[in-house]
Amino acid sequence: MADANFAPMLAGAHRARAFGATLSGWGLALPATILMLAMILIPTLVAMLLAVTDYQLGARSIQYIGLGNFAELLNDRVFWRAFNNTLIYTLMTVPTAVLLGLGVALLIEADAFGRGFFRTVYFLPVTALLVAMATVWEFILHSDLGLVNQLLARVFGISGPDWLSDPNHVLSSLAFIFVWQQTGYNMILFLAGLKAIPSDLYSAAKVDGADRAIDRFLMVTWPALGPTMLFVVLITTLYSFRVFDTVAALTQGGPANASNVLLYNIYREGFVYFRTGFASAMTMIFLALILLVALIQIHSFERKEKRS
Amino acid sequence: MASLDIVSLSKTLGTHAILKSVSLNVPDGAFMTLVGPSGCGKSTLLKIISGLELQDDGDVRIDGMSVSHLHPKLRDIAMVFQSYALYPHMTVYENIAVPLVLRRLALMARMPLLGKLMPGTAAVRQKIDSDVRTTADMLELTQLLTRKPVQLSGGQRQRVALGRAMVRDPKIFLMDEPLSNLDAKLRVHMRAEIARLHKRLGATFVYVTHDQIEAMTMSTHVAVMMEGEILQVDSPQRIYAEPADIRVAEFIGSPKINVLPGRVREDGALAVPGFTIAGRTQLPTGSQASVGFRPEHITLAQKGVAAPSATIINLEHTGPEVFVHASLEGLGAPLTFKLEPHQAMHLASGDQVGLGLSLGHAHLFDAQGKRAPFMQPVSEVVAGEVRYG
Repeated sequence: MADANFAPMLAGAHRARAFGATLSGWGLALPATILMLAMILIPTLVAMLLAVTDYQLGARSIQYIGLGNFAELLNDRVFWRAFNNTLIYTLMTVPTAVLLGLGVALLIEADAFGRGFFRTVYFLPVTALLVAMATVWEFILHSDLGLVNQLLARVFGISGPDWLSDPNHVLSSLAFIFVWQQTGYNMILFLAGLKAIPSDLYSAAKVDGADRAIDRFLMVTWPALGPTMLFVVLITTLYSFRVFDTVAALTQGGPANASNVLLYNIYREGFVYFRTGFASAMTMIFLALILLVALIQIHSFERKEKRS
Repeated sequence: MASLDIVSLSKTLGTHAILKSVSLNVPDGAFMTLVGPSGCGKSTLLKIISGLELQDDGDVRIDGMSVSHLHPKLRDIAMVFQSYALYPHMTVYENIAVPLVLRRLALMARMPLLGKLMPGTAAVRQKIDSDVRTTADMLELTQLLTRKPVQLSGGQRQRVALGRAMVRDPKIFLMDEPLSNLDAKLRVHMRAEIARLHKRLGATFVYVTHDQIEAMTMSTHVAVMMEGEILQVDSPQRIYAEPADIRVAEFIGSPKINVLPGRVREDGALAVPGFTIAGRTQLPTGSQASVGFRPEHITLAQKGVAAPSATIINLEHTGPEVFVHASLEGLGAPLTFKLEPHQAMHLASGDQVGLGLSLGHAHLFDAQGKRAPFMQPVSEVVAGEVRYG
């Protein structure tokens, strides 16, 4: 009898405790949730809303114009220039920075000699503030006094172009600076990936007949680095898309939009010309592009996981 | 099938001598086990045989031909690793095929699409396919050929590693602690399987382990290594029955052999703490010597016979036998000996018992730890206080 009376009470206590656990769970997640809402989700939402208006920074009126901004973008030559430049820039930087990072990591892993030294030297650019380093690059790439052109002139007798003012070279110069910085970062990621490969696999490959380094690379290193490679390509692509600081500090998108890129164009439309609605529409396109890259790569990663 | 000769092989890392002029002859078709505690240099020796590491001095010869300057690929050896070292991205089939593909196809012919265009590739691929299937069949891996290593159990991975070694019929198999990652039950099973494989292939095996049971059960020859030296090479039976060095005697056998420190008396008998072993040795009078008795060579003394007396510390019942740990006065470490359960029925810790030593099985070692014979068979144990020092 006593049991029968206890049962509902116990169930009640159990429910109360479960409720308490739920509550404290939400309580613990709350600070992070608020931050994410305030810093990421709400601003994105606001940008989405602004993208369908004609809002200008400081304007008193705001009007819904549907896809008007996007229609304008389709015919905006500057936007397409920036869009193409971003793609070209990415195509130049990603393969170079990824392969160089891998190459440097392989060289450093190959021999214990000077390992710490080279690792530090290649990683140093990552720790440098790019806006500050841009000033240094400005000097190095200066058309007359710069180290590069001085070297070209004195050693090879070639007069180098004006790296940052020549429309044919400006994008590659900026890409070079990006590669200079990103290689060290990629190297560190690849080094971590290489460290995780058991040395027995290389021994087995040697005994199995892989007498050349290229055989061992194809048999052991390359497959084992798969997940690392995917991550490195993803992160380098995203960083590449987001290029802004070197453009802002060195070229301001010039000459004649030759180095204008998406993010810089958004900044200029939004904060120089105060066309907030228009800039928001561009931001949406930028966002979609980045999401697309991330989705493609996450998808291919998951497929690879499933296969193995 | 081939014989292997190791000639005064030396290897030093920094100031630490890993191998000190090691020589070893492995006859054609032998199952040679290198056994020793970790850090004794046995794995290094194996790596030098395979060509994965280079010696500082000495020579490795296969069938009398020096291979010291050859790349592992050209030595025609196969190796099985403790970690199995299977290629994780390849299926069982591809793993087993690797040594054949790398040897029979050029880099170009190995490429996924380009390879199909190369003349002759298809025929080579077909031969590889039949070889892989034969090997897989032998190891009962046929059902698993499409699996990846992560989908296999430890024992199956082990068999794939063996398959990869067997598939191209190498002259010599090298195995580096291949059973260490398996659980106890599977290890017993694979022990038998590898021994059977050796018989069937008739190939030369060099097997490295720290496990004396593996060494004793599988091999035709055992080489006991310690501190970079080979102490003894013999059949498993002789390694156990006639250890050439006190370190061999102590390493092989579980529980460990009982060692009593002693001193050679003028009459050639050996004085150990608490009693004397009568019998002539050829060791110089007054020199240090040790005498060893295996646990199965000590029993309880018969009633009324003068015998060294010991105090029982504890009894371990394993089922078929009982291990007794007892302390002997004047001796630091306790003695361990083995009794039948019925003999130990009335014993308890703290009891005083007389020890019956099987003198015919005494192992005598000189001051350097080398085996020394009793010139006259040992005849009796004389109990009583014998002071020496």
